[in-house]
Amino acid sequence: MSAATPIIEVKGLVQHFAQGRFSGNRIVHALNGVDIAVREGETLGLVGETGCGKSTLCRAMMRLYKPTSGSVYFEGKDITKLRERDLRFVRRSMQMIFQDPAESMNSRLNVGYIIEEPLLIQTKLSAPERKEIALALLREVGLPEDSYLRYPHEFSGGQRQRIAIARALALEPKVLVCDEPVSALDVSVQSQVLNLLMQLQRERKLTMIFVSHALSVVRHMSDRVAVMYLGNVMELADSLTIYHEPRHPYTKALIAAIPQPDPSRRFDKIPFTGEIPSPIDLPSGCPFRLNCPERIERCETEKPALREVAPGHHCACHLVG
Amino acid sequence: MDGKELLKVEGISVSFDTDLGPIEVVDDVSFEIKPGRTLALVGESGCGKSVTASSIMRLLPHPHGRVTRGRISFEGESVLDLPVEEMYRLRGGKISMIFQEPMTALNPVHTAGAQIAEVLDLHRADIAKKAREPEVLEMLKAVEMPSPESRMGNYPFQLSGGMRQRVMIAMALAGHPRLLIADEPTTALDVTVQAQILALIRDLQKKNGMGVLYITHDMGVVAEISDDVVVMYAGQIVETGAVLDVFKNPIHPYTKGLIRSMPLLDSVPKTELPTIHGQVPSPHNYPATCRFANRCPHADESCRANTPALEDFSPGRKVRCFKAGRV
Repeated sequence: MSAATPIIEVKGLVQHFAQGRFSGNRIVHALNGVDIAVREGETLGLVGETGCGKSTLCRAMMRLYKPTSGSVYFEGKDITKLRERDLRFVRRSMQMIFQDPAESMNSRLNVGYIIEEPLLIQTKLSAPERKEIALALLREVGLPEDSYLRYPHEFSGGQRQRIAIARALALEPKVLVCDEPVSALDVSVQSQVLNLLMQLQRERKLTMIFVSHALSVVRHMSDRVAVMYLGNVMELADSLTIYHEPRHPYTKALIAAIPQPDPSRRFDKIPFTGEIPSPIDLPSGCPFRLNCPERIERCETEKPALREVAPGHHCACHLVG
Repeated sequence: MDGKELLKVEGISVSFDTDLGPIEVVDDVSFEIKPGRTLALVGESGCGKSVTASSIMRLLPHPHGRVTRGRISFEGESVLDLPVEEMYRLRGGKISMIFQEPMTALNPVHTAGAQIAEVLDLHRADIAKKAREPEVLEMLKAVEMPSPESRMGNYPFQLSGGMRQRVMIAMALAGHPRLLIADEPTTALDVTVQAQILALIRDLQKKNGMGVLYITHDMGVVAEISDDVVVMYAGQIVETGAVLDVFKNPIHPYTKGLIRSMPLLDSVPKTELPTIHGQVPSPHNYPATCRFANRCPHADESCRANTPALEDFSPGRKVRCFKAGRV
């Protein structure tokens, strides 16, 4: 694999979900043609409002869904059509942590077993070997070794997230997908977990995909950030460019809405984004046009493609570039 | 009422009975809100901020939660001594409350319009039955509900999170409250919707001059909406002051930590974030000394041996720290 090959790449990814017959057999258009590449060793941040498809994109990149159309590549290899049996090597290489660590753990199992379970499934290591790895992981995430025999309920939210991180690292993955990893934690504990993630990334050379609705957290954690809206990537650039020189009208609105802990800088005008259209009945043309203050006639008929408007800066808007 | 307190909370303590005996979750909390002002009650989960709000509404779980000390007066009347019937009139009338998760606070089997009309039934005898529907529509327009005529007939599940929160605010305002208690009303919402709801609360307050008690853990939101700030930690107030002062010059190490530990829009990405070491103590074992001492970077022997009091630091500013102004 050459250095230029992205570790994960999706091309023209479309992901539809069928709603049941009681909901009228409607189709939810969760992702509508996403092209994005994740570079090895970087942190790619995904931001956007509830229902914009950021979690779906994470799961689709991990091939937890079968794409409706489009393709998913892992280390240059097309994994779009692989069967579950052949996906085992992908599962090893990509691991995930979730918003609520308590819900992602079986409360009847002790921490040692929780961390060792991936090893049990994916490797042929002996019990003492597994235990040795689990204890080393506990140390690495900053938990005492005697946590090994304790149960998830004995830990605070921040400590449980550390356990979830230890479990995700057990198979030495190349990619760690973090879906809202600190949203459920106390404010004073959030930064501890964020620091741990940054430290692990440096030490283990992890590639991270970082999803959060807390926009300033994503800015801090990411090298590049993709802004999503209604199942599309609207803008993609390095973190500082997205936050300080946004080009897309939607990104501008999103950034303007971030509350800053500085009472002398209260926002004077309210961001203009209205209600997001339903992913069941997508608007024609640009997905953002119904709420966009700068829309022109062309936006109604033609969906703007994600184009490079400056080196490394991609934007999907007819008015930009 | 100009210049006088709308709400005065004086030294209240709240206890809960648990399997392990009674625990004091709120200890000697005092603050006041004047008409037209917004006070933010800030702290992490378990610090007692929501319990404090519930005691103002007399909504503590009965019988195991109770106010053990102190006094709460609303427009000069002692809330804790009011007969139950009077409380019914007060709640949703002169004092209303909005919550974090509108889906659980709204009734799923009634339409948005019907739920607002119910508040008018209970608290607005001045409105004739026939005039109710137009009034409900007015309320929905006041909270800037998109296409209010058709949304009136919608059930909560048909509305987005932001729209549900607007319905809840419309219900809270229908009784023309003098005091609005907002318990993390934007925590579950996206930032764009949050910005709209915060602006809405500010606008409505400007129009009707109500006082607002805003409960949140988000310092960004505090900066956005409040006039005064009360920071709570482990059931006690650790710092109070005007919002500009508190942000410009936080005194208590916990307040400093809260403000610093969240990344700002001008932080350098991927650098280590300042943290508050350790975790929030459980109310079962609040230390008898300074409750923040075991997490405080400046704590010394005297902090671990003595109990600091909430003392005046400068005009309008109170801090509970032995080292206030020296660290």
